[in-house]
Amino acid sequence: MSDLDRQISLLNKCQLIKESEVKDLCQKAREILIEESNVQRVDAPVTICGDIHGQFFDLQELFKVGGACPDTNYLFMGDFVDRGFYSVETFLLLLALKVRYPDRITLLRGNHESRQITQVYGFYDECLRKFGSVNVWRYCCEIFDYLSLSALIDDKVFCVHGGLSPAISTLDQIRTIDRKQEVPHDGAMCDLLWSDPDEIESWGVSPRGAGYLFGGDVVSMFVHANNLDLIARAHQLVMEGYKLMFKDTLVTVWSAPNYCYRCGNVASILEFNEHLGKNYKIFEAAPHENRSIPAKTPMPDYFL
Amino acid sequence: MTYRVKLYKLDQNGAWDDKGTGYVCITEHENLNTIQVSKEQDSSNLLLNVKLIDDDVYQRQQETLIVWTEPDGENLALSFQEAEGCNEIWDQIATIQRKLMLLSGDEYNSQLNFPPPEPSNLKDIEQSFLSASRSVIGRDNAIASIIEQKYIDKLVELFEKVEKSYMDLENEKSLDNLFTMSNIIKSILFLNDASIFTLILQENVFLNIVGMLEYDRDFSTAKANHRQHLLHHAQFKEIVPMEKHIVDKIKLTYRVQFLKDVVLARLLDDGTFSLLNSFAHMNHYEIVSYIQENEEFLKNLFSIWTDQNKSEESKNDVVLFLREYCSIAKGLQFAHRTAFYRSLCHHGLFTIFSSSLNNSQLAIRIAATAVLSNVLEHDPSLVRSYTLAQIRQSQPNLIFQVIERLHDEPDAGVRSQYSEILRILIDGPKNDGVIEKIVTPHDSEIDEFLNFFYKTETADMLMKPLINLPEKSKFSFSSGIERLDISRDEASICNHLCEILCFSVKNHSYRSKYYILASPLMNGVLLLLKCKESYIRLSALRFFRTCVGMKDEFYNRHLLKLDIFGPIIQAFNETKSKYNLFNSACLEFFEFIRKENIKTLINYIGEKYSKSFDDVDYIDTFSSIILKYEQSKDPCSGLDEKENSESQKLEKDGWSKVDKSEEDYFNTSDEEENESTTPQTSSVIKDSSLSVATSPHLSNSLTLGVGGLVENYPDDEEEEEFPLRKKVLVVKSNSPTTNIFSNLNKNKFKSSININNNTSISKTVKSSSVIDIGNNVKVKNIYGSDDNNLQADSETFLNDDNDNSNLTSSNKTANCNLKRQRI
Repeated sequence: MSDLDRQISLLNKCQLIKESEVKDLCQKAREILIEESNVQRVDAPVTICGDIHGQFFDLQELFKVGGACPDTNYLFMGDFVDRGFYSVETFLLLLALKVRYPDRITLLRGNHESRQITQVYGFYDECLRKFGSVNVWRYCCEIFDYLSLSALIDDKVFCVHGGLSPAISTLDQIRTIDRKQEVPHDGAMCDLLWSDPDEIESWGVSPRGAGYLFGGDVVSMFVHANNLDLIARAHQLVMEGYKLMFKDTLVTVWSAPNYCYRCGNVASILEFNEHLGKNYKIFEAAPHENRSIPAKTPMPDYFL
Repeated sequence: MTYRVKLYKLDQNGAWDDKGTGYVCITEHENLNTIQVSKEQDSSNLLLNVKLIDDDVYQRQQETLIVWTEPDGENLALSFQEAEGCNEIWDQIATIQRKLMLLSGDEYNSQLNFPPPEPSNLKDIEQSFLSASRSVIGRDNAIASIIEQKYIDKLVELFEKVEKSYMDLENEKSLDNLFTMSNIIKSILFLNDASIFTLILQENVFLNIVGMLEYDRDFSTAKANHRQHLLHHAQFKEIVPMEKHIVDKIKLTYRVQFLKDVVLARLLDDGTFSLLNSFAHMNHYEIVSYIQENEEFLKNLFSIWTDQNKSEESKNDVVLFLREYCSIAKGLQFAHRTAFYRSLCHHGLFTIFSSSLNNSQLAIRIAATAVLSNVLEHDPSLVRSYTLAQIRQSQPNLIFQVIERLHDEPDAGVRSQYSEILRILIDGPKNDGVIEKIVTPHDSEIDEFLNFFYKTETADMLMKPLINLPEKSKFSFSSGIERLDISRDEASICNHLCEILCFSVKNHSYRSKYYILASPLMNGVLLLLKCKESYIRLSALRFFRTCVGMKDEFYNRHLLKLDIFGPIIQAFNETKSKYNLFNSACLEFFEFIRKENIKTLINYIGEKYSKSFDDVDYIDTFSSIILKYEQSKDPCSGLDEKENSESQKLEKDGWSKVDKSEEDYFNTSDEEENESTTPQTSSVIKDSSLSVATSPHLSNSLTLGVGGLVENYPDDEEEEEFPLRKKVLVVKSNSPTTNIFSNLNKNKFKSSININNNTSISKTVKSSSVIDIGNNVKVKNIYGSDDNNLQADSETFLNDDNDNSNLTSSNKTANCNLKRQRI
C-alpha cells in the first residue's frame, strides 16, 4: 500500500496524519492545483456537493449516498472547513483524494478557504489544538490560494461557490484572474466566492459585507451570454438541501446536514449523468453511533 | 428605567407586523403590574399597555427579543435595541412574577425537594431537573436548592455507587443508570449558573463530574476517558515556585478549559460557552498580573536561562512557559499587554532568542518563533528598537539571526513563519516622504531600521539566495524545456524572498526601488521563471507584475534592460494555451499593461515580440497590444488626438453595424429569443469578434473589473427581455492615458454588448447614459430602479472631451440614487 493510500485510509477513519505528511501532501496537491484553470472543465457524469464545514461524519454519509470517491466523480464547491469539529480531517481527506485521483475529484474554493475567515470560524484553532502548532494551518492556507474558482461541466453547467460578479459577464473574464492570493475584499474574485442570488432586480448590496446580491435578470443574462443551462452554487443554508431559483436556471446545493449540529436541515448532492440529466439525493446527518466522540486532545503538560 | 424597543404583533397571515417604536417600562403597583410601551415621539401615547401575566408565558429569544401570547390569544414581541435592555426587562418580569407567586400562595415552594439520591430514583431525579429547567422560576429554585442541599456532593456519591455497580454487574440496567446520571449532570450544568460551576470545578468534585460525562446515551458504545487524561497525562509543570493560591488558580483554569474544550465541546450552548470563557479569562488576568508584578518570579525564570548549571530540558521549559504566557496575554487589553511585554523585555525576553531559535528540537523552535511573533503582533517597535540597540553596540543582532534562520530552517512551516516575521519587521509607514507628515519617535525608529535594512548589507544578506542563483544555477532539460535545477528547500526560500520583495516594492517606494534597481537580484528572479516547480515560476512572475504595477518608468526601463519579457513570454508559451494558473497570471499581467496603456512596455513588446503571439488566438489582449504599438509607430495615427478621431470614426462604423444586428434582433420572435442560443445574438458576436468560440470581451470587462461595477440585466419593461447592460465605470481621472477602444475592440465592445444603441435605448425607458470618449474612456450608463423615477427619456451623449464632468443633472441624480441603493 502506498503512503498516500495508507493516509487516505487513516483519514477515512477520522484519524490524523503526521504534520510532515500534511506538508508533503500539500506540496503534491499544489502541483496538481496549479495546473487547473480558474474555470476548470469537468466532464459529466459528476456529482456536485455544497458546503461541508468540517462535518466529517456527514461527509462519510455523503460518500455512502453518492458512492465512494474514485467510483463516482465529485465536484465540491468549497467551504470544507470551519464551524464543524473536524475541519482538519475533512479537508485533508478531500485533499488526499484529490492527489490520489486528480481527475475524479474537483475542489473549488469557498469563502471560508481564507486566512482571515479561518482565524475567526474555527479552522485555525482546530489546527493549533490538534497539531500543537499552526504549521498545518499555514500549509492548508497556502493550498487554499491555489484552489480553482469555478468549474464548467460539459460547457453547460457553471459551478461556483457564491455566485456572479458585476465585473464578470463572460467565462473568459474569469480566466484572466490571478487567483493565487488571499480572497480579496472586493472585485471579481471576491464576488464569485461571496455573492448570493436574491429575488431582486439586477444587483443589490449583500448583507454579508462582501460580494453582491444578484437577481434573476442577471442570471438569465449570464446564462444566455455564456450559453449555459444552469448555474450551480452553494454558500447558503437550505433547509431542504437544495433550492432552485429563477425558472430553474440556478440551484443552491447544501451538503452539511444538521448544520452546526443544530440547524435541523437535510443536505443534498446533485448528480449529473452523462447527458447532464439531474438527480438530487437528499441525506441526513450521520447517526450518532457512527460517530466517535470529538476528541480535542488538550496539551498534556501545562505551565499556566 | 426605560429601553428603546420595537413592538410587533403577529397578524393573521402569520407575519410580524411592526406596530411602532417606543420605550418600554414595567410599572409596578400592589395589585396591578403592567408592561407599557410609550410612543417615541409622544410619551403620553401608549403603544402597549397590558397586564403582566403571572403565568410562564414570556419567552426570551436570542439576545434582544421577548415574545409572548396575551390571554386573548394575541402574539406580541418586543425587539430591544440593546441586549442590556432586554436583560433588564427580563429580570424585572421574573422578579415580579416571583413575588406574584409568593403572594398568590400557590403550590409554589422556594425550595425544591429533589428525590433522595438513590439509584432507584434516578429517573425521577432526571425528570425533576428537566421540569425545573423549563421556567425561569424553576431554574432559580433549582439552583438555590442544589446549593442549599449540597446536592452536587450527593450526586457524586451516588455516581460512585452507580459506576461501581456497573463495574460489578456489567449489565444493561446499570449502564443505563450511568447514562441517566450523565443526563442529570448535564441538566445541572445547563442551568448555566456561575455558582454551580464553581462547585463543580472544585478539584475533589471535578474528577467525578467529568466521570459522569464520560458516559453518553448518544454514544452508547463509546466511552470517553477524561479521568484518565486528567490523572495520568495532564501535568502541571512548575518551573519556578509560585504561591499556592496561584497554583490552585492555574489548575482550576486548566479544568475550566478542559471542561469547555473537551468534555462539553459538543454540547455547549452560547450562554454556557461564554460563561466558561469569561471565567477562564478572569483567571488568566489574575495569573498574568501575579507573574507580571512578581519581580522575583521573573528574575528566577530568566536566571534558569542564563545559569550554566541548568539542564537543557529546564531551559527548554522556559521557552515553552513563555509561549503559554504570551499566548494567554493575547486576551488582555492593549494597555495591559504593553505593560506585560515591557516587564518581560525588562527581564530579558529577547536574550532567549539567540539560542532558542537555533534549537535542535523543532518543538522548541516552534515555541520560540511563536513568542517572537506574539511580541511582533503586539508592537513591532519593541523588536526593532532592541535590534537597533544591538546594532549600535555591534552585537550579533536579531534580524541577522532571523535571516539566517529563514535560509537554514529545515521545517517549511517555521520557515514561512520567519518570512512573516521579517515582513512585519520591515512593515513601516506606507508613505515614502512624498507627503510631509509629523515625524514621531516611532517613525524615526522605523526610518532608522529601514535605512539599516536597505543601506547596509542586510537586504543583500537576505536576498543572497536570489543574488547567487545565476552563478550556481544548473539546468536540465525536461520534455524539451530548459529547467533550472534547485532543491525544494531552495525553491521555497526563493518563493518567500519573492513575496518579501513584492511587499517591499509596494510599501517602501524609493528605498526599495533604489535597492532593487542597484542589486543584481532581478537576474535571479528571472531565472526562477525557468524553475521546474510551477509555483516558483508564478512567484517570479508576480514579482515582475508588482514592479509593473508601480507604473514607474525607472522600473519599466530596468525590466526592459533585463529583457524580462523574453523569459515571461517563453514561460507563457510553455503553458500551451492551457488555462492553468500561470497562464491566467500571464494574461492578467499583459492585460494590465494593455489596459494601463504603459507605452514603454507596449512599444518594446511590439517591437521585439510581435511575432510571439501569432498562435494565441483565444484572447485578444496581445493583438490589441500589438495594434497599439503599430498605431503609435504609424506617423499618421501616432498622435493621441488623431488616434482618437480615428477611434471615433471606427466607432461610428461599429455603431452602424450594431444598428443592423440589433434590428435583426428585434425582428425575431420571443420564442427564438428564449432559446439558449439565439441566432441573432451569435450573429452579433460573429460580426465583430475574431474568434467566436472563445470570444473574450476583455476589452470592456477588465476595465470595468478593476474599478467599477457592471450591471447586467434585461429590462423588465420590455417584452422581448432584451438584455441590456448597464454599467457604472469608474476611471480615475489621473490615470495614464487609457484607450480601451482600439479598433477591433471597439467594434466588439459595441456590438457584442448591444449598448448605447439608439434603438435599444429608446425602448428602455428608465436608462440614461453618457459615453465619454477620449484619452480616458469613461462609460457611464447609470440605471435607475422603478421607484426613483428618473426622467423617462433616455439620453445618449457622445463626447470627445476628456473631461468626465459632463454628466447631466439627470445622471447625477441617477448616480445618487444608485449610491443610495447601495448603502
